[in-house]
Formats: sequence, structure tokens, C-alpha cells
Amino acid sequence: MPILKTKNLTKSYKTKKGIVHAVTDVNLSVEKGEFVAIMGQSGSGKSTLIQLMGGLDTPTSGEILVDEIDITKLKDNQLSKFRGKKFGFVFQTFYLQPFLTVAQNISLPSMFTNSQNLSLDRTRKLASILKIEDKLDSYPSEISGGQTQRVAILRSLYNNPAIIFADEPTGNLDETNSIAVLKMLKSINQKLGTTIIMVTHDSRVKQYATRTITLQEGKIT
Amino acid sequence: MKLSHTFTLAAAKLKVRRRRTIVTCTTIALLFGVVIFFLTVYSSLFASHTRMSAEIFDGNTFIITSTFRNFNTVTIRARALELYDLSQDEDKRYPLIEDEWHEGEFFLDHTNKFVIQASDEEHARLMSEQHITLTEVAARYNGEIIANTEGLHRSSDLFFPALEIPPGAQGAMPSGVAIDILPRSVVNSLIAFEPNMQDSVPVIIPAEHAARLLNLSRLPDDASPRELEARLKDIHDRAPGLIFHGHSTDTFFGVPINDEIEEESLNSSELDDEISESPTEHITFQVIGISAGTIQPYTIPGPSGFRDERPFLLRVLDGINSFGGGAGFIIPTEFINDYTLQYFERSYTSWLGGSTIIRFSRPADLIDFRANEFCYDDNPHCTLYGGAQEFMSSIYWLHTMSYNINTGVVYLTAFLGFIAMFIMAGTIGRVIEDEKQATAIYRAVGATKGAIRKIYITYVTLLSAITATLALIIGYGFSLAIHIAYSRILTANSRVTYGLPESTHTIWTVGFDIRTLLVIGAIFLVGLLCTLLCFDRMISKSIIKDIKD
Repeated sequence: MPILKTKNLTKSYKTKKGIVHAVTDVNLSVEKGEFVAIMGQSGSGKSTLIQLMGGLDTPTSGEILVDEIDITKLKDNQLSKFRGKKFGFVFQTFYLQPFLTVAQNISLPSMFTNSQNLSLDRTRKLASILKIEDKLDSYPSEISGGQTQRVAILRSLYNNPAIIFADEPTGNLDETNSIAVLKMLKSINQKLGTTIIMVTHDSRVKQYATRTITLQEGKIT
Repeated sequence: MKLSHTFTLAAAKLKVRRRRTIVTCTTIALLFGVVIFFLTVYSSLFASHTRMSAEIFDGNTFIITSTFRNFNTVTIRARALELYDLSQDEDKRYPLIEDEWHEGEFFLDHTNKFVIQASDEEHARLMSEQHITLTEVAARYNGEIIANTEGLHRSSDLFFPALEIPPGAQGAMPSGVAIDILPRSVVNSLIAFEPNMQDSVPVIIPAEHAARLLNLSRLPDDASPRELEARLKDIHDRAPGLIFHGHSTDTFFGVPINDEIEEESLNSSELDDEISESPTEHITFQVIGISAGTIQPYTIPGPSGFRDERPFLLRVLDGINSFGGGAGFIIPTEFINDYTLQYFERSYTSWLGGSTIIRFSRPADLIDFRANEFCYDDNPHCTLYGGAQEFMSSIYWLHTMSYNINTGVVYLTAFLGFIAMFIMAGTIGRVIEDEKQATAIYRAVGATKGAIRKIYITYVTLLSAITATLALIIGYGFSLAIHIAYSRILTANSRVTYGLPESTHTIWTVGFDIRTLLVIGAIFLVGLLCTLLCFDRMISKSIIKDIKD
């Protein structure tokens, strides 16, 4: 049974130049434990697709089924809670909260979900896996780009999500850090069985992904 | 979401955005601080001033209502009714004539000498509907009606402070009746009201007429102030002993009444001859005071030309009203507490200005009394009982000034408060809008709108608490500075003003005003309202859109 399935997923925008079809009739099925890489040129709609699947944006039409639940039908608060429990997000520009310490950023999702996972020990344990345990009391502005992305990855992991959506997580990193991030995601995917759906330009991801999907003009090719 | 997490996230914002927090809070706190400063300084000054001045006021009469016009009018009415009762005596019967125009009103008529009636329909209605006693009014303001048996604070005191009250004068003294030019009927009326004054009616006359009676030469129109002053002093020196006479050919309640008092007979140059011609018919008037007022033409018309139709006495009273110094009767002490007050929308039947004293125990009561009971002609809804004049003293003036400052402070602080609230609203709005991306990330990782709202309410409440604390520090800091700089000299000056060199009280500028709580409350309320109002703008349907914005 697929953990995520889209049916005729479409997203259109109204612009001054007319209607732009970012995603058109995408039908996609992702099995639990898969590492799916979505690739495509700029403007192909891959980021829009991952945002729709992650419930960060609303589709114009179509369905997104996660564990058989159509998240497009959920109310705002229900969707927020659903996201908090089932999804983790890693963004290209990390989006850590500058006023929170590394430890607080990592554990942020559990603050909203009242998760039992929230503890300093757990935070330390996770931080040690990605070797940033000595930075827990630092603020995001005090750590490097690679460390920042590791914090972002740990944040996405904190609630033990079923799916991690990664939107060009290596886009702002150098080669060494990019490879490190890809390895981390692969490791998470293999060791924890977390499903990973990643949007990227980076062709190296093919070595790590179990499946690669290419998007062109909003359609899967 | 747990409260501890909410607080952690809200406090974290303050901690990291220290500079911005300080600038935001300080700007708003400065404005609110100024408001608190005004309130603190004012209320402290007022409180300390009141405490010091209370040493003067305690147990002393410090106000008289020198003209209680309606009271006097009613007194006249009561007196007329009393006279009517007396008239039941077979020998002294006067017809009771029903008022043709206003049913229910009646008046005595004795060749039109005593007529009390409404001046118009509205007047009649008010007369019948509004019955409030002077005692009641006084009690409302912690006042006490007292008979002016000591002649306190008469206008004549300004000129003859050492004057003894003539025997038999129980109430207020006349305070400015220009007998010498009044028609004889006025004289008759005056005498009729107080028959026991027949031997010598004390009067106060305008200075210019006193000069005539004293055969003083007319001063040139361009007389210098020094000449005028010398003239006034001359009059003052000589007038108390001045006695002049009218003569009468009839009696009224045993009082000789003159049918034909000629104006010229009042010219003192001819008095001696007239006295010698008919000495038994003379009424003696003793001048006890000079009023500075001069005769003014009566210029206020009655309603619908009614004035011309008014009975005799009313016209007489109008005539008296035309003198700047006012006029008065001697009001028997026993009348003071009992008579019902009537309300008159206009005053052309009144201004028989006897002195009625209301003693107030505190200056504030007097000020309240004046604020609530003073009747202005353009106020159609006033329910007042006459024009109370304040006792002219620097102490009272200080109190009046304090109350005026109070009004100014209220307006000024309200104005500043509004500006501060608008600036605060704008600032909070901007602060919250700047948080759009942060809230989008919260939502992405599972926060509901309710959880985010809690975070920002806590955040703004913390901002408000800092602002309020700063505002209190600024407000009280300035007040303290003023206190350190000026308290000593203010105290010294106030002691001189009050004549209290030994006073233990000081004047201070630091204290608590209950309105400060309103200011602090406003800071929190504005913060809360702005958060709630701006919140929906901060959150859109698309999280991605908010993150990118």
C-alpha cells in the first residue's frame, strides 16, 4: 500500500500574463521506505509538487492521499497537526528560527505536537548522530552552513515522521556538505525506514535515491 | 501546546531581538511615561496642596453665595404670603388676586405692591414642579446653611470692614440699593418687607450718588486715577455717617409710606427744608456702604415683550437689578432653612441680592457645588439655584486654579495617551507582520493557528510588561526629578501663600494616581487588541507563500 498517492494533482496560478499551470494532472504513488528524487529543470514544477504533497500549499484540483487520508480535505488545524506528526521538512534555505538555540530548533516540532519525544537527552542523542552535539546551545547565526542544514534535518526527524520532504536541501551547500547531507538522508531512509521525497537539481542524488522522477512543464515524464 | 513551550518561544524572541525590543518598548514607554508623569505630578501636587490648605479651611467659612436670586425671590413670595395672612386682620385686609394667566398661582395685591407670579408659562410650570430646598442643596455638598448674622463677606465689607451691623438686622444687609433715585414705590416696598427697619433703613448706594448726597463737586471726566482714588476715599470716610430722609404720607403695615417722594427730595441739599416741613413723615436712611457699581440701563427684554406687562413689583425688582452693586433685603433668620426654592429660567424677577451663607467644610465641596449648581443662561437644562459667587481669596483662587489644571491635565494626558496608543498599535502591527516567515515555519512543523496566537499574545504581553515598566520608570523618574528640584521651594511658597509658616505639610510631586493603572491597562489592552487584529493578516492559506514573503 503506498504511503503517499496523488490523483490528478493540479496547481495553477493566476498571473498578470495569464494562468500558469505549475503542476498538471500528476498521478504519483510512493511506497513506504522509498527514497524518491524528483528532478527537472527550473520552473518544471517540482518544488510546487513537493509543497503540495507536504500540505504546505493547496492544490487547484486533485487528491493527495497519505495513509489513505486525503489531506486536501483536512481543515487548517487538522492539516497542521497531521503535518506535525507525519511529515518532516528540509528546505533549501534551512529556515531555522534565529532566536532559538540549535537545541530548541531541533526540538521545535515536538513543542507543537505535545510529543513525548521532547527531551534534552533525545535532542543530544540526535545531535550526536550528526555530530553537532557541541553546538546545541549555539544560535543558528553562530554555526556553519553545513551544520545549519544538519540542524534542519534533525528538526525534520524529531517527531519520527513517516515522510521527509526535502526541497533542494543541497542547493546552498558546497560539494562536501552536499554529499554529507545526501548520505545523511540515505542513512535515515535505510536505518529508520523513513520515506524521503526530495526535489533536487543535483544529479548525484541518483546514487542515493531508490527512484527518480523527472518533471517537465508540470508533468511527470 | 504546553504553556511552558509558549513562554519559551515568546521569551526567546525578546531575548534575541534585544535591540529591536528595547527601541520599540522605549519609544512607546516614553509617550506613556510622559502621561504617567503628568498624572503623578499633578495628583501629588494637588493632594499635598489640599492637605496644606486644609489647615486653613478647617472650621472656617470660606464661601458665601452673595446672591441667591431664586432663594430671594421665594423669600419674597413667602413674605408676601405671610403678609397675606396678616392681612386677614380686619384692619389690614388685602385682596388675594388670582393670576389670570397662570392657574394655580396667586398673588397679593395691595395697589400692586406685592405681586408674586410667574413671569411666563414656563416659569410657572417650573415654579410648581421644582421644589428643592436650599437646605437640601447645601446638604448635597456637605454644606450647612447658616444665618449671616455676623455680616460675613458682604460686598460692603470691602469698603467698610469695621462697620457694625445695625441693631435689628438679622440677615444679610442690603448690598447696594440706590435709594436716592428709585421711585418712591421701591422705597415703600423695601420698608414693607422689613417694617422694623422703619426708623432707619440701612442702605448701600452707588458711589456717584453718595457724592451727590455729600455735595461733592462732580469730578471732571478726565480725572486722574489718583483723583478718583482720593474721591473714593473721601466718600468712604464721610458716607457712614450720612443720613438722608424720604418722607411719607401714608402707612403700610405701620410704616410711613410716601405717596409722592420726589427725586429731588433726595437731594441732600434740600433735605433740611423738607424735613422741617413734615418731620413726622420722614423715613431715615442710613448709608452703611458704598457700592462701586453705577446705574446701568436695563437692557434685557422679557419674553415676548412680557416685561412691560409685568406687575408692579416685578418691574421694581427689575429696577433694582439695574444697579451694578446689586440690592438686598434683610432676610429674617428663621426664613432661611424652610422655604422652597424655585427654579427660574431667567432672572428678571430676582437679583434681590441678600447674602445667604452656605458653609462648606472642604474646598472641594464648594467647587462641586459651583460646578453643579451654577446656572448659565444658555443652558436650558440647568437645575440651579442662582449664581453663587466665590469668596475672593487667594486660597480659593489656588483651589480653582488647581481644578482648572486638573481639567487641562486630563485633556492633555488623554491626547498623549491616544497618540501613544496609535503608535503602539502601529508598532505592534509591524512587529507581528515581520513574523510572517517564522509563523509559517511553525505551521510547517505542526503548529496550529491557536498555538501561534498564544505565542504572539504572550510575546506582546511581555513587550507590554517591559513597556509598562519602562513607562513607570520614566514617569516616576521625571516626577522624582521635579520633586528633588522644586519641592523645597514649592513648599516654602505655599506656606507663604497660605500663611502657614509652621505647617508640617510639604508640597511633593511623587505619588500614586489611580489613573496610572488605566495607563498601564491601556498598554496591555492595546497590545492585546493589536495582536488579535493583526494576527489574521499574518497568516495566509498558503504556508509557502508566507515563507517566501
